Amino acid sequence: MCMKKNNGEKKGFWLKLDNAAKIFPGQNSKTWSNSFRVCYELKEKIDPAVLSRALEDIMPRFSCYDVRIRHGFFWFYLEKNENTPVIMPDIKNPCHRIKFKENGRFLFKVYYHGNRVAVDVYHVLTDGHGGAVFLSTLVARYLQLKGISIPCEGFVLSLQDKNSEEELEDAFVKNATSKAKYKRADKFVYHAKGTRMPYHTVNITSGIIPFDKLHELSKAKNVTVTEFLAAVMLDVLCKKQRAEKRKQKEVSIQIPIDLRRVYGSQTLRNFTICLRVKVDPNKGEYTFDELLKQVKYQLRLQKNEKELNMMITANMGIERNILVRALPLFVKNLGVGISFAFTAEQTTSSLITNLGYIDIPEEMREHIEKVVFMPAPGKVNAARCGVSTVNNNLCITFANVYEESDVEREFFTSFVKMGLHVKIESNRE
Amino acid sequence: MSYCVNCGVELDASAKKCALCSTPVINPNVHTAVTEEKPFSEELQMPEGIKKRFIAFLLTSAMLVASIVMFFLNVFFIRGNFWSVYVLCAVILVWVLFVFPLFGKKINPFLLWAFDTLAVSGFFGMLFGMLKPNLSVLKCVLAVIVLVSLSVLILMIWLKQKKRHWTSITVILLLESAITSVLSGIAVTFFVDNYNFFVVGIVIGICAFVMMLFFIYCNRSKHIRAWLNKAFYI
Repeated sequence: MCMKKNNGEKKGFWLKLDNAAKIFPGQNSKTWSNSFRVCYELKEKIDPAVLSRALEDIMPRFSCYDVRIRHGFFWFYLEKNENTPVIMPDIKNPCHRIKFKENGRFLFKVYYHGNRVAVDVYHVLTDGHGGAVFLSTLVARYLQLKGISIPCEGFVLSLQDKNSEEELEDAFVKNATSKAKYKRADKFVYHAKGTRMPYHTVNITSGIIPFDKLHELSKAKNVTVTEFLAAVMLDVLCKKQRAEKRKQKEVSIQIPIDLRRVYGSQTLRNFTICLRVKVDPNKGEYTFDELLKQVKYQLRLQKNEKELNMMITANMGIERNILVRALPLFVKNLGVGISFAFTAEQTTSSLITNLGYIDIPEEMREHIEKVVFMPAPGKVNAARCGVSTVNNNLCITFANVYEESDVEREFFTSFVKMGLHVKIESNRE
Repeated sequence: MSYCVNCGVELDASAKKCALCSTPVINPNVHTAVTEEKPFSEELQMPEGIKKRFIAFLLTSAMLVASIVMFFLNVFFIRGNFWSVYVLCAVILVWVLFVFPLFGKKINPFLLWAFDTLAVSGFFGMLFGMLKPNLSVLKCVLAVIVLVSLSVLILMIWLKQKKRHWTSITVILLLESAITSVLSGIAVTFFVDNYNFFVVGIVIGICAFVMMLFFIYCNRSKHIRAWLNKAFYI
């Protein structure tokens, strides 16, 4: 399936996994992997031959993605992959489990379908920002090969440049300098009920909303778009829990924060941290405005350099711990697996991850319809959503492992009730 | 361009029903079916399973090499009583119990049960042949093997009848464990004439019985069952 490279690139290139990536191989199972999808919808049909050439052209620029994962005795590490990645026709069930020896040992997959080109990325490689930069550069190169002049700016990297040290660095190590201690105190929270789909399948529902209208709405409430969306999600989940007439638990939303914007890093690897906003329905029924306030204050209280540094340092503390370092890899994996079963999704009801405005050149924007960003389907989280914006199209994409679509329905109809136009696309039959 | 009359959202041109509420799309102005390309692919790709046969082959090779090395060590270097026979029999037992099932895609469970029972009996037979303990111990072990294999057989027949929920399976498993441990305690006491084995059997039986009561409660309560499913990703 994959050809061997013969381009005389340097051998012996290897990278340590960054701090965030260290947990993902331990969470990997035969039914689930932590991978996400970024997808570009162009205004014309994709030519697979040109796309394949574009992918080959950009790979040397992304040496931190042109790798395979290897087991060491103490840690996993990334090593130069001697194969060439291939593009594939798209599938209905993206982001299914990753096996390290499949797909020419690459940890990402490039798909095409009609006007769409998508990349499924295993979280070990990078976060949403890195995935978007990779795909933007790929699409820009594709358009260049089609004869369209695209300058290299924003998310589009110049193929003439080489990977700088700053792009390959583990930015967590550099920025974990806090002396404060971080207490982890997360409870088990509410999870929406539903009929689970078979393993490796997922229901995807995208809603496209005009960004300017939503921005106006959130500005009128004095909150950001992410805070607004998180409040809508909290509202939907609180109402759902109330309707289920069960013991009321806390409802918590996980919101990953791009630390590049806080620390000004240029890294192409993972550099995000997850914040949580939560409300306790036992305190009483929250109105939407109250939820907005809760989200706004809770998020802004955590989202500052000092708090974030404390969290990063706590995560780095585990990695730096001499006992943890001395444990063999299989014991570490076992520990990660057990910890994952009792923390992670158990302490969050859902996830909203906002990639923000995709910063691509004006010349490229003319050829792009929208960008879709889909997070990894959850294990117990009913519906997790990813948000991305380009050309005034804000695309909210739900990855749901349950057959029911009530969370998505309540979420999108909330915007219809607010007077916004919502267009729905889905892989449901 | 069509809108869902129920949700008020615009639907994709290829949609036959609303993705949010399943309301069908009916357009009286369009008489011929319009075939628009769907935004998502319809090809479902299920990932391959783990190659069990390859793992089985590797394990078999490793076991074979280990057995041969032990045999030569016993014959040429660490001489004495035939200790390598114990190793060889233990390897055969482990192979039959854990490696053999990996070779077939779907081996008949009753065949596996028969092989497992034979392998365990054979292993203890070898032990008795080599060590030559008194006859009552042999009777004890035989009684326990017969009881355990019978209880496994009953469980298999019960499971074969129809698909059961995991809580029901746990209840039956615990009930069988309770009965088997009590009966084993009685059998061992009868042959060895040591009352302590009977007490141990009774204690294990009571523990299994108490756990069984908990799972019977789980089986009846929808809420607890749902909670357990979510808490342990079942």
